[in-house]
Amino acid sequence: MIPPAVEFVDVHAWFGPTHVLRAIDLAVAPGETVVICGPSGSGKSTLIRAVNGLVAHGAGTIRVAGLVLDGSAKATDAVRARVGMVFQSFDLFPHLTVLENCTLAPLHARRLGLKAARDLALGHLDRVGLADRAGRLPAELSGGQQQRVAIARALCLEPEVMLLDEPTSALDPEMVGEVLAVLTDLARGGTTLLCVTHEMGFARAVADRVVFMDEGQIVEIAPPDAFFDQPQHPRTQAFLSRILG
Amino acid sequence: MSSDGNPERFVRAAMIPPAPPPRRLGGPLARIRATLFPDLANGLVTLAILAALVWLVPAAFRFLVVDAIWTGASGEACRPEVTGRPVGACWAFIGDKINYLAYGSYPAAERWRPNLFFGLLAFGAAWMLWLGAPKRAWGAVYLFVAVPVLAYLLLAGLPALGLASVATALWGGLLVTVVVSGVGIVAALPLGILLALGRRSDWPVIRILSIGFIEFWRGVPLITVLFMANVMLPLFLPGDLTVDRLVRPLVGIALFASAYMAEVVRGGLQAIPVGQRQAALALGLTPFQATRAVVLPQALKIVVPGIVNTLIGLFKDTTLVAIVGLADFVRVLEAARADPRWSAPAVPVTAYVFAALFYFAVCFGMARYAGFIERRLAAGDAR
Amino acid sequence: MLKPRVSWRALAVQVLLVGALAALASFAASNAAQKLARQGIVAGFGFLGRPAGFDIGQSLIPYAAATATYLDAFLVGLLNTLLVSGLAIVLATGLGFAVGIARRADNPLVRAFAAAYVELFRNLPLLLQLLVWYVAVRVALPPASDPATLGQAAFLSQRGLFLPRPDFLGLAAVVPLAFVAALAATGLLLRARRRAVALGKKPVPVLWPGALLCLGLPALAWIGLGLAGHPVPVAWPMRGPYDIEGGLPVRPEFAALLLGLSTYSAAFIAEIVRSGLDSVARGQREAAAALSLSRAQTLRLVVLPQALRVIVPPLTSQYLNITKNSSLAVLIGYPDLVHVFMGTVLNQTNQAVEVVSLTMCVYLSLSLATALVMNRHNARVAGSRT
Repeated sequence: MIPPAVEFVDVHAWFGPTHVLRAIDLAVAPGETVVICGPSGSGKSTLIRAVNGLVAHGAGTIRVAGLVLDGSAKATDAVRARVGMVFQSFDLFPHLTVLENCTLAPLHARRLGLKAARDLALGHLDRVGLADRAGRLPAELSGGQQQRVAIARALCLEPEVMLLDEPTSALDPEMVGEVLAVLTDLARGGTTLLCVTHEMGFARAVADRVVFMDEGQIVEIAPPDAFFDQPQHPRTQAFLSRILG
Repeated sequence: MSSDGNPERFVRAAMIPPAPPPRRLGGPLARIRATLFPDLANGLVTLAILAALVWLVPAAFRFLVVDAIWTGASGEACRPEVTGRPVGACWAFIGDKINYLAYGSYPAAERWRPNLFFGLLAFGAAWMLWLGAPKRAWGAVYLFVAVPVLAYLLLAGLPALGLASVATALWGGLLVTVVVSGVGIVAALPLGILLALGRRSDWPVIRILSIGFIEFWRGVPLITVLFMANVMLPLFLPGDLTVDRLVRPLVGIALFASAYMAEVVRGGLQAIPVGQRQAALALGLTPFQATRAVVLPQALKIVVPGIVNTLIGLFKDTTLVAIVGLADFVRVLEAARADPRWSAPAVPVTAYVFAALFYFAVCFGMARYAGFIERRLAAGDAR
Repeated sequence: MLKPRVSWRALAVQVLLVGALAALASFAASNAAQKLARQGIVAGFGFLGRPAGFDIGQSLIPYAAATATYLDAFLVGLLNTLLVSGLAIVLATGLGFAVGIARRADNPLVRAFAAAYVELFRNLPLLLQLLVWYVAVRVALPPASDPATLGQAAFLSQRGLFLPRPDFLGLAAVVPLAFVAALAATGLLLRARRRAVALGKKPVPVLWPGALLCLGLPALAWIGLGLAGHPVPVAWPMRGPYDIEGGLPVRPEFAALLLGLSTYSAAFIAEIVRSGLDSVARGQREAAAALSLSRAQTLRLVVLPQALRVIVPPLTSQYLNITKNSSLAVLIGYPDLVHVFMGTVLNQTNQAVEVVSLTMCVYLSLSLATALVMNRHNARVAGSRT
């Protein structure tokens, strides 16, 4: 059996007294694309952030690329070096150019040489179609372009898993397409993707499985066609009817 | 309920209710280890700080309370050779000098007058600083008009009213500190408001004069202002008219503080959206009325924390009036500890500790109050 | 668009205002002129050429009571002010940044300790702190009768620290000139680096070459002079009958003022740094952490550069405050500009108007210079990177 890229075994998490993740069991195979959806407050972002330790889980086991997240700084750092994350608000570093944003991690965390880092960064920037903007500052780019840079920045870690937290929710509608195109390209290229999104068209086209969450727990998992055409759980049905109309 | 590693399909049978978080292994001990000793560097620093605390806190307590001398008539009481035990703070010294520290050389029989002054001032300050107080406009008139007049009559005296004259040279200690800070803030606030409005005026002369005034007083040290007032004010007056030695630094401080207050008020005015003034004008108010009734009250409410901070700065700055010979609290303390009757090694230390405790209590208290007001204002505006 | 009409009323009021102020000013001036004339004081700055006749405890330039003029005294005071302010700025910045960063550390004890430092030093009057430092410094030093020595080169006692003093006069002026040249060269390097970064090219290093230049060039000049047969003359401190004489004295008043100013201002700088750190969006730290950067790397590469934008304007205000607060020197006896000029010289010559205006001019020029530099920096920051 090929070991899963990301594995949750009976994972719970609390924010203070609030039980935000309940009994999460999920295994993501290498190269698989999993889309997570659900109403706001359902714990989707928390789940994603638990994968690279931005949120600490209180019970259960999380395994990423074979490493166990035991709360120690060493384990967390090791996992973060293998996991790339893209945020809803892009969070590019405004005082650095596009190229410097992408070379920051390879230079300082992975300790690559300057030339190797720049070549790597330019390669990934080319992949997202922004190599010609390498010398610009983030403020000079549109939202869609910034998010594509954010994706390239994450890819410069050469990660085994890519986490995406509502990557297109903060974008104007006309820019959503360019970002989804890049993500589709990534997914089809064999990268393990764990993506929280409301873009159902994207999910249908690219996801291997769709996970529906509500109240901190996984309510339904299904392949996209089955998920959208024949949802089984009443909550899934209610949610889909609300957002798909 | 768990499913085998990688289900293609899964449907939850029953929803899981929320559960409380588990008690961590080891409980609070593990949390302490995580926050205070996560790695070697942090651990060493934690140990260093704990060691410092373990040494400092009992030593301070011993000095301030356990070994302190509370009663005595002279420095003998505070010497270790005489008492036979280690000696901490010589509070007996403070007790003996307390009237001098509070009033300076103000005649003992007339001390009810500074006391009354303190009371009137405290009442006025409380009225203005308590945001929920009724009729605060009357409070402003009280504090900015009535109290200064009453204070002058009470403290300096007016023989016609039966109050014996007390020369300002006799005033000292806390009285001088409060008078200087009080006059400073009471003069600075109205003047600062005028300057802030003047800085935003459309009339170039007013604007240039306001900016020049503000930048001048903000660009020079307070000590030079005090020197200047002391030396130059008598020169500018005609004939043999002279200015009381207390009034000169008061004028300097009032002008100095008004420039800083002007900047504080300006910050508040800038924070009011332009739409407020425009709406007031659209309602038919004249520009003067719009400012007075709509913009200024809102701006002043916002800058109450800034005003309190200016007051704190002013209170600390009063220590500088010693340079022109005024006997403020610190100067009076220095004079008191030089008294040969109270010569003991513990006395100077006690004097400085007492001064530190006093200023810290007042300034820290006022700062907390300003923070409290700021949070109250922010909460009020939050939707 | 309506053009604003010139209001006659506004014009009239303003003219009247200017007139009234001018009248008041001339009235005051004439009173002052009369009174000064009556005291036999000659207006004008000619008095600066007269001999001073008093000694100054610490001086950066050669100053002998017998031959120095009031102008020399003014210069000594000015240099002393700049010296203590400059050093205090450096120390306060270092300490302030450390405490400010500590206020946002993960360790709660460190955070509490830093917060206690800030509250303690901010809420006590500077004068009180200076008095305490002065007593503490004197108590810590060996008595004047039995100073500590470093061979014959330096002495330390309650009278001060006495170091050998090089006299950079005549040919030896090459050494400080070399230092200034090194500073200018570092400035040029900095500009070249900025241009390279703007063009996206590899930036030239500045820190090490700059430090090397500033230390090495003057040293080379010194050695060179020695080898050329014109060694820099050095005045060594020597034990005289009452006191240690000669050399470069560093007074306890200076040490107390420096320590007091630095620790006091560091508390304010710490708060400025803390609010600068807080101004950086939380998402930035998350993104850096997700890129597997350590806390220290996140602070150095992501948070601080952004925080500096918010920190620099109030920081320069604090630097100006340090310079103004150095005037408290008069209360512990350090001979700064106010003490020497507005104190002693004014007392001796009674040239009140000239002395006061000259002193105020010095401080106002410093304020103005700082404001200009700040405006240029703000314009550059706002114009380029947002």
